[in-house]
Amino acid sequence: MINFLKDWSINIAIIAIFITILEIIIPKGSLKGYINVIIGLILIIVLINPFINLISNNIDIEKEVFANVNSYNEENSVVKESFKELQKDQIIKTYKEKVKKNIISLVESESKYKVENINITINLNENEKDFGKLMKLKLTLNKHREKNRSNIKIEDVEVNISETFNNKNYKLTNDKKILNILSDNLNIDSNNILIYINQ
Amino acid sequence: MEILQIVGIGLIATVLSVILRQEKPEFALQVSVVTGIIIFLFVITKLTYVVQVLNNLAERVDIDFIYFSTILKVIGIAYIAEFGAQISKDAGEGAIAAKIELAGKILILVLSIPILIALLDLIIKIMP
Repeated sequence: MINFLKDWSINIAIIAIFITILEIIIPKGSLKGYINVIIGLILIIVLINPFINLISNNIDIEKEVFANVNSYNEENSVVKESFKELQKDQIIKTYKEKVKKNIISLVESESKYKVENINITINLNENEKDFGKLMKLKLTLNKHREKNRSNIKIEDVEVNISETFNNKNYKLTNDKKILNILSDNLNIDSNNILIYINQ
Repeated sequence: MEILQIVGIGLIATVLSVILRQEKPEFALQVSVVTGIIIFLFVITKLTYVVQVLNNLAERVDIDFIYFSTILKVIGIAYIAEFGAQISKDAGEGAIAAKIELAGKILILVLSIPILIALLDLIIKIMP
């Protein structure tokens, strides 16, 4: 009990000094009254805060203030909603590009193939736990690495992968080495990786 | 001895302004605006020390940082609004000065509303 009183009186003393300094630095004019109101509110909060803690542990005034600040901000943020969507799209796009680049550098450094085309499917359901996880990966590799080195092509991501490669030049490969490297590094099941090789 | 510099700048500007006011009143206004900004910049760095002390005090008390930042924002708004209003008044535009002060009051009110509402909620909750 004596500690409680001690803390409380120290708080009051410090807030008194605090307010005195504030009184010196606030500009004198018509706005002074408004500032005094806010200072008074804060003084009340500091005075009754220990009693609130004493009476009930459930009430948290700081949370209350934050809730009020947030509700004010939320009202303001309706316009920002469209910006948020835009930002989310951009983030997903950047993420996909990074993943693709990562895969390309991985494949090209670990094998003798050159990446011709790359197609990834990413879990875009925000509510799920593994949001952003790589679901499927379809790679087209070229055996002749040195040829047409310059025209690497990154196609847009398609969620639907049901289409099949009809071109006879492309052959599905079971190269364990590449599959293992990819599944280890990207945390994706090797059954979900399809690799075609351009003969 | 910053006070000598500031007083020197102030006196020179005052003399210039008085001389210019008879010839070209619009330049006199500009002189007073620039002088105000220079003096403000001189002391604004000193003010950081005061703010630091206040910060230390605020950390020692149990009050949360949000109150402190609110107070600082309010003081900043008050200073800037006051500054602008004075300049407008000097130029003889009392109406614009009043509008600037009105804007300052509204912004201060908006900042203080979360604290006010929180206090009210709190008092209602304490009631048995």
